[in-house]
Amino acid sequence: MADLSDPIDRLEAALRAVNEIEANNIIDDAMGQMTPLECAERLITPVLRRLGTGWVDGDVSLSQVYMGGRICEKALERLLPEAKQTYRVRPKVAIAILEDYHNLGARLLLSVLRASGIDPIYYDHQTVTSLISKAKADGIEVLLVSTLMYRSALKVRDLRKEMVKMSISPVLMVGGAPFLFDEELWRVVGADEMGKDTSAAVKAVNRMSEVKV
Amino acid sequence: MIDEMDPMDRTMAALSHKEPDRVPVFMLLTMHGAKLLDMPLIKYLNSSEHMVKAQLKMRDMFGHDCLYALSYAAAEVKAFGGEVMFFEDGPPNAGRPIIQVPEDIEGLEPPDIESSVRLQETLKTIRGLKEGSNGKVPVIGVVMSPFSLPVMQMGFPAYLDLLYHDPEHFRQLMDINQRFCVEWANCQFEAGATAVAYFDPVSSTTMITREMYLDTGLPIAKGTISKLKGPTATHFASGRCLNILDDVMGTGTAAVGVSSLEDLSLLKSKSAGKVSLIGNLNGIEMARWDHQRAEMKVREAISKAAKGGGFVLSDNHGEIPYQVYWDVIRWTMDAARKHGKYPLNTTDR
Repeated sequence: MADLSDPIDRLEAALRAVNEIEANNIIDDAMGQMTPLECAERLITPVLRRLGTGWVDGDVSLSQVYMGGRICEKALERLLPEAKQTYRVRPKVAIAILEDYHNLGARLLLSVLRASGIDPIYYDHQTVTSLISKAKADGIEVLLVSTLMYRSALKVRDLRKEMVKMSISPVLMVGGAPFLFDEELWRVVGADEMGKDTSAAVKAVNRMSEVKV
Repeated sequence: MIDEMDPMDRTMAALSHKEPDRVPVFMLLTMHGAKLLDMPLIKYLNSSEHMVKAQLKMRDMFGHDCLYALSYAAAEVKAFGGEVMFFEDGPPNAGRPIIQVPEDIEGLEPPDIESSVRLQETLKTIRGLKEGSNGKVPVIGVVMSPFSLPVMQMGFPAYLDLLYHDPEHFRQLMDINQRFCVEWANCQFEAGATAVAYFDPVSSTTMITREMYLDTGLPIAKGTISKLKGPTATHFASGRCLNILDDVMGTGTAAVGVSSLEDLSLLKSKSAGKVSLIGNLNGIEMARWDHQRAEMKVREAISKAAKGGGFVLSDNHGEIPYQVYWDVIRWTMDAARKHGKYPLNTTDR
């Protein structure tokens, strides 16, 4: 049994139970001792990382990860304006669904990043051409691509070719079912990294922020 | 040595937890028929005539043990009045959700199967497959479970919000979907389906907790399956089910489609003599298999789950990706014939 005196353990338990009231109470308590962005980094991010890892291991369901991310995202949306703080602005991050119409993975990623104090641009569904054009125009430094269908995962190969042709080089991270079922696929299609769960994206963004900010 | 059986007897023996002549193989080919007939997917998947021709031809080519009547899952949403988007190289997707806000559920009605061109085409496919195989090969129909269909009707994020926050609209939607599912499955049985695959990925513990399944997906599955006029195989479309397998057995389903993400030996030890397993080859990986890997994976699955019957070798998703080469399908079947002969070679284990 986890020691629930630790806010991280308590928040994890609340999010697993999808108990928004309890989760908000724990986050509000923590806010007495830190800023919203510190709360995102030191409390919310570690808890969401645990949920993400738990999902990969089969111990947590996707609905818990999604609802947990939404609860924390809403909490931070409420707390940042109150503290007159904003999301981190660097590196510039975008999330896209490539050649696919399944948006749960991308929505989940958006919630987790926002709950972690990062405010990505949400591109929704894109083709290779439209995504390249948007990423170039927005000066994107980390491009997170979500896919559910195998055919969409294979389109990452075309995306990489176009990125080279258009001389843009954001860190290209891919995620979604095809990459979980074939753990070599991300290399085959030319991505820079693969995220088994949302915490990998948070880590990648944090790493970039250390390098570039 | 057991005399060679036809696919129907082989499958029925396996599903009765007996050892037939060899492990039956359900090669769940859908889009490959378009490749075989050299035509676009949109033309192929909307034509019962083409589907019957290709399904029979593919069975002749490979010698697997079923004929698969699935065109595409989004066909059910089309019957509800939704859009379907086709691609050149993958399964069609449901388009703009037919339920934009929960209140839309209040005006929703189950589609009229008789007047749905798309659904009637599937029934024609089933009739054609039964006739073309003289009843010697199982014809597999497909329904989406009432509990999983909303992912296509309203989008997954909105459905999760409904599940957690709007029990009244959820109950209404389940009632509509269940009425449709029962009627649609029974039409497929009447047309000649030997069994119907009850696709229920949202019930998988990959998607929801066991506690939520016990409150939602399980009673809906029990209430639906009990009204069907033939056997079902519950399929989680590569989602996990080990932790709910005992509960799934209580729905009256004859078989369960299991994931490559879970240990097939453990699944077998829980299910032996109670419910048959279908799986669990990794369809995504199949696209990059060579001959040696195909043989290794088939041998591994058979060694873990085939003893005593109750096992059908298949992919773990319920549909083999369009990108899987013909050679891989051939190597998989060859390996099943070599390593799946009963009595099993104990050195394989």
